[in-house]
Order: sequence, then structure tokens, then C-alpha cells
Amino acid sequence: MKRITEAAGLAGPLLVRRFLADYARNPVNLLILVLVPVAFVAAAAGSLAQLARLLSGTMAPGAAVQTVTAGWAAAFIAAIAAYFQVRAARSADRRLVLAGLPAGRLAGARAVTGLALAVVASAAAVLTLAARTGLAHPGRVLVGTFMFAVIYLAIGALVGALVASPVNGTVVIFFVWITDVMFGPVFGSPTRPAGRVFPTHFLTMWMTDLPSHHAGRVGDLGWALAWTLGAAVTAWAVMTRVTRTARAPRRARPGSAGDQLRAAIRAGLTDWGRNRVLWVLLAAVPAVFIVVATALGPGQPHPADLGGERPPGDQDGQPRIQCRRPPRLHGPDRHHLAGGTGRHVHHPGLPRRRPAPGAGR
Amino acid sequence: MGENGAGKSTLMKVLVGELAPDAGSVTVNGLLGYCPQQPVVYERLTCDEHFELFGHAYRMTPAMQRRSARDLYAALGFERYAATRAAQLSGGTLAKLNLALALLADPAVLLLDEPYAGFDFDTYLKFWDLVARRREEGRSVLIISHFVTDAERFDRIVTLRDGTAGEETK
Repeated sequence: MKRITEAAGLAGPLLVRRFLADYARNPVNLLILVLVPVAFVAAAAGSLAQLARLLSGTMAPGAAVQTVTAGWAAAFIAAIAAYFQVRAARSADRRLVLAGLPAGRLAGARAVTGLALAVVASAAAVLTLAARTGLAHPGRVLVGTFMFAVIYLAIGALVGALVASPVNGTVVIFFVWITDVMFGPVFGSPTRPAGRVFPTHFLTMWMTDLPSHHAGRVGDLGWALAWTLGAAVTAWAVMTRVTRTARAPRRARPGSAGDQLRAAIRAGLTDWGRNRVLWVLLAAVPAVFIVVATALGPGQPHPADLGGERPPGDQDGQPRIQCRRPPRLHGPDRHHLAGGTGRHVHHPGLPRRRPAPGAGR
Repeated sequence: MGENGAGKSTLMKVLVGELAPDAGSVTVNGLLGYCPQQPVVYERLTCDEHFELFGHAYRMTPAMQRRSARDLYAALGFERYAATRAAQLSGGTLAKLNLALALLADPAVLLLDEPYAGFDFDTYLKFWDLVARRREEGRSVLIISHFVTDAERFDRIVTLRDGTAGEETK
């Protein structure tokens, strides 16, 4: 019995070794794992730093932005590696679990395998960065890049559990990644609280050494660590869930409130799902509103004259842009801003309205 | 036994826990050996590596696993492919590996879904030798098939129709 227990205990390292061998014996896998981060950092880091400066006027120095590109590269390739690990070996993994291997142990081995791949991808990205720009803070770059990879390992595993087609899975991962990058603090606004929902928001802030001002007492690094740890636990839980033995679903007592509610929701969703027109409208209506609003709305900023004193000699009657401090915005001005009489607020292309007697005084 | 779509493989998947049943429950007491209809293996691992991996899953000691693998190589006649990756095996040899993984731990109950579909006649006979030996040792073997050619080899033959067990012809 003791020997059997020992054998079971050794299964973890053996599984990891075998999973790594299974991955590495496909030369294309290894090539992509190293080549993509190297090419991305070598070719795109400088251009992306320039683009970030143009688009958002980011306060991070160019070198710091280039540092984050190592994280982006490692993240994307780690997600792809995790996706294909989960998808490709799912049947064989389940067979191992059916043979008696605990699903949690198998998921742990898969997660460790994923971490090993993340280390390789991160190392490739960081070494390229070091060769390209040098590393001002090597520890921060190494740890940050690895954390990027771990967060995206979980995303890859999650997509692998939900999306069967490799093409669809790759597109979904790319969509998540590009959204995270383009709306993240480097290209977007680093101080907007809405940015907190993106997986690598706080991590990017920490790597570029810019405070987000909305991290609270935990700090950007604290939130970045929380995201990383949460991602690792999520990856493990997802992989355990998809490989464990199937169990009969727990059913509510027939006729009970829960049973009736579930049946009603199921029937409603089925009915709703079969209404193809509704599916199209759900996507089309918001899209049409946005497109039409963009196409027909004023495309340029236009001046608004809030009245008040004009400089001496200004007789041309053209609207002027005036900057005032809030205390100097008087009641009549606010009235105009709210679209009241329109005595002085004029939008080009709209007819001037005749002011009502005594309005705005 | 049953026609295409009768629910044979679904029933077996429910028995081993690969699918959840719509109703009822399955109680497993002890070890099951399961051989799926399509070979389910790691493409880039060798036969030896598969035995090692599944030996751990079955909680066998390395010595037990090696002995059992050696016996199965000999019984099914594919020892020369021990170091060959699964993706490079022929269809018949892959079917042998698929079956051998189910037999490795010598489980009390064997569930085999069309196990001899890719076998040549010689391997087919070897397969029945293995089954007969296990039957003599008190093991149970459940085999799924479209049709039965050697009815004398079976103790019971149950026909499945529309997911329901029908007549028992033996």
C-alpha cells in the first residue's frame, strides 16, 4: 500500500514531464512559443511606444511602454499555448481521470505545464527587450512579464473550456488581448476607474511605474498580484471542471418553486433563442444608432458664445470661445448652456432664434 | 449489441462517468477498465510513456506497471512499437494500444466499445484469448458491438433499441 501511495505521489512531476514532452515534440509549438514574443518585441515595441504617445499622450516614458510590450507578447502566446493544451488533450486527459487520476491533480499538472511554457515565452520576450533597449528594472520586468503570462494562461484555459473550434478560440483570445491592450492604460486613460475591469490594467500601471490613483490601499502591485493569483486559481478550477467525471445533475423536486422557475427560464430562453430576427436586432439596433449618430452628428468642435462683455472694438458679431472659472459662470450663462433661449448659443447650420424679450437677464 | 444510434456508446459513456445520465445513477465499486470506440491517446507520447502515465492513474507501482505492460505487449503482439509515438502507429496497432490501456491494471470490470474493429484475424483471436483468461479469473467483460459473429464466446447477449435494453438472446 505504501508503494502505491508513493507511486501516486510521484504522478505530479511525471505528468508535467509527459505533458511538456507532448507539447515540445511538435516543433511548431516551440517555434511559436519563442518566435512570436521575440518578433513582437523586436519589431513592434518601438512603434507601439510612439503610437501610445500619439494616441493618448501617455505619461509613461517610451522605454516603460516598450517594457510592457514584453508582457503583451508573453501574455498572448501563453494564452494560445494554454488554449491548445486544454483543447487538444481534453479527451486523453478525461480518459486518465476515468482511469482513476484525481481531476484536481491532473489540472494542477496542466497548470504547472502552462506555467513552464509561460516562463519560456516570458524569457524570450524579456531577453529580446534587454537586447533592444536594455532593462532599467530587471526584476520588475521579469516578474511583471511572468504575471502577464499567468493571467493570460487562465484566459486561454477558460476559452479552451468553452470554445471547441481552434479558429474561434484563437479569435476570441485575440479579441480579449487586443481589447485589453488598446483600452488599457498605455493607449487609453490610466486614471479612469473603468479601466479596472481589464485583466492587466493594474499590472501595466505597475510595470510602467505610473500610479493609477484608484487602486486604494492595496496599491497597483497588490491588485496585479490579486489578478495573477485569481487567474491561476481560475485556470486550475476550469481545468478540473472540464476533466472531472460527469455526475448526474441534481434535480429539484418536481413541482417545487425552483423546478418551476428553472423550467420557465429554460422555456423562455429556448423560445427567445429561436427568434432569429431578435438576434439580428439585438446587434443591429445599437450598431445603427452608433453609426448614424457618428455619421450625422457634428463632426467638428464648434464655438458657443456664452455672452458677457466683449473686448472693445469687437463688432463682427461672430461667436467667441470664452474660458471662465466656474464661479464666474452666472445664471444666464447656465441657462444658455441648458439650451434655454439660445440668445447667444448658436450652432452653425441651425437658424438663430430671436431672443425673447428680457431673456437671459 | 444494437444498430447504429441505438445508444450503445452513450450507455457505456454513462457507465464510466464520461457522460452524465438524464435519470438514474451509476455506482462504481472498484476499478473499471474502459476502452473507447475511437482510440483516445496523446499523439506525441510513445506506447511506453502511455503505459507509464496510465499506470500512475491506476495507482500501480512502477514494477507492477512494467510487468503488466510487458504481458500486454506480448499478448497483443506490438512490443516492437514500445518506443513509437502514437501518431506514428498504424490503425491496428493504435487499436491495440487503446485496448491495452484499458487492460493495464487488470480491472474487475472491463468495458470495451467495439474493441476489435481495427484488428486483423490473428489479433482478433489473441483478443478473445485475453478475454477468456480474464473470464476464468472471475473478471467481467462488457463488449459493445454492432453484430455478434461468435455467439458462443458470450455468456449473455443483450440487444439495445432506442436506448433501452430489449430482448436477451442468450
